Amino acid sequence: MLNLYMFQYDWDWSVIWRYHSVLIKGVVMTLQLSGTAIVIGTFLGSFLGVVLASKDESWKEIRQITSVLIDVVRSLPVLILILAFNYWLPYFVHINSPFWLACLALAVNLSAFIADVLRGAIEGVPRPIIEAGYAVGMDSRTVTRRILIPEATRQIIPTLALLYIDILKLSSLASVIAVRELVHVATEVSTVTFQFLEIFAALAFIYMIIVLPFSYGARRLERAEWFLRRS
Amino acid sequence: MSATVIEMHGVTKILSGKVVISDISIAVAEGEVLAIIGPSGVGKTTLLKCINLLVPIDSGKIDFRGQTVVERDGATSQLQVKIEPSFIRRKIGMVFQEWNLWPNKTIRENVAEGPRFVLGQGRGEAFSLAEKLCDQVGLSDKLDDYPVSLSGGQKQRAAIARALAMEPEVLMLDEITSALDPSLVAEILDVISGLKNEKRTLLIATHHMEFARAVADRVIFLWEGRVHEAGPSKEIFDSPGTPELRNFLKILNRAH
Repeated sequence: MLNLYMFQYDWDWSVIWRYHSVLIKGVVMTLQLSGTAIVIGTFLGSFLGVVLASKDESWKEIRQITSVLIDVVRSLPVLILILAFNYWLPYFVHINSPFWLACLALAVNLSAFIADVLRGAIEGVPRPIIEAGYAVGMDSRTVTRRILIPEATRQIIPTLALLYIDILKLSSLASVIAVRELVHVATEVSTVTFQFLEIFAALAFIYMIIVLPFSYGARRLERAEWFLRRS
Repeated sequence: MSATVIEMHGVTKILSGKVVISDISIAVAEGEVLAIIGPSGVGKTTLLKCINLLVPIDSGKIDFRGQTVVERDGATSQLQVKIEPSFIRRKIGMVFQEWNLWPNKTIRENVAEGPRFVLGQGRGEAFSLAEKLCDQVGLSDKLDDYPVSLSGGQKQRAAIARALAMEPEVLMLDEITSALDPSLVAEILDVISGLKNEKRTLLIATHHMEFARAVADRVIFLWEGRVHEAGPSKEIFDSPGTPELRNFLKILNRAH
C-alpha cells in the first residue's frame, strides 16, 4: 500500500508478466519504426549532405532550397512534425498507415540533422588530403567517391550514433498518432489495468535496456583505434 | 644532350596580391635530378604545384615533352589548360612535405589507390604492385598498418611509394625532409639515392642543403621569386656567384 496525496494505490507487479506479450509487440514496433526511420533518414540525409557540400554552380538553386527546407525541419519540434505529417501528408500522397507517416516524419527529421553534419564533415576534410588525390591523377568524381566521402563518413560516425539513439527515443512520440509502439501499448495496458506505476516503471526500464547498449557501443566505437587515425 | 621533359617559360604566380614566383624559366632534362633551393616562402612549393596544375598560373607557359600543358598571357587573360590535368598529374608525380597520406586507408591501400582508381588496375594487381613498391622503400612490414601508426620517415617513404605506383615520368619532391626529425632524414635520402641510380627524373624543392648536394645534378637558387643563380650542383655549392646565395648557404651551414 502506498499513500499518495490523493488516492490509495494497490501494487501489483504481476501485471507486467500478464501483459508481457503485448509489451514485447510494442518493443518490436518501436524497433521497427526507429530502424526503418534510421535507414530512410540516413539515405536521404547523406544525399542532401552531399548536395549541400557540392560546389557545382548548376546546383546552386537546389542547394538553397535544400538549405531552407533543412532549417524549417530543424526548427520544428518532432511532435509537430509527426502531427503535421499525420494530418497533411494523406492529402498529397496515398499513405494512410500511421506507421509510415510517423516513420517518414522521423526520417525527415533525422535526414535534416545528418545532412548538416555531413556537409560540415565534407567541408572539414583537410585540403592537403584532397590535393593528394588530384596529385595522383584522380578526377573530381573519383576524389569525391574515394577520398571525400569515406573521410567524412569516418568523422561523422560518433555523431551519427547519437542521432540514432535520439530517433529511438523520439519514436515514442508516434504513440500520439496511434502507432502501436511501446508507449502506446503501455498506455493501453495501464488504462485497462489501472496499474500505471508498474507499467510506466517497466516502460522506462525497457527503454534503458534498449538504449544503453547503443550508447555504450557508440562510446566504445568513438575510442576505438579506427577513429583515432590521423595521418 | 637528353630530351627536355618539363619546360617553364616566364611563369608568374600571384597569390593574394603578392608575387610569389616571377617570370621563371626552367627546363628539366630527362634523367636529371634538379634541385630548387631557396629560403622558406620563396615559392618553391608554388612552383611545383604550378607544374602539375594544382595551382593555376597567372602568366607564362609550361610544356611537357614539347607539348603545351598550360598557357596564360597575363592575369587578365584566360588560363588555357591544353592537356587533361589528370593526364599530366599521372605523368608528373608529387610527394608532399607533410606526406598527406589518406588516414583511413592502410599503407597498401594508399599505394594501390592510384593504380586501381586512376589506371583501372584490378585489386590484386594493384596490391601486388603496392607490395613491390613498399618493399623497395623498406615498408614491407607496414603494409596493413594505418598511417597514424607510422613514424614520419615511414609515412614519407609510403608517400614516395604512392607516387611511384603511378609510374610517373617525373617525380616532384616538395620539401620531403622538412617535416622530419633529423634522425629520420637518412632513410629518405637512401630511397632518393636509389631513385637517382634508376636514372629517374627528379625535381626536388628543398632547403636541406646536404640533401641537395648529395643527389642533385643541377641546382637552381630562387630568391625573391626569381631564378637568382643556376648551375651544376658542385659549382653552386662550392663557388656561389652571388652574395645572396653565399649568405643563404652560410646561414644554413651555421644552423647545422
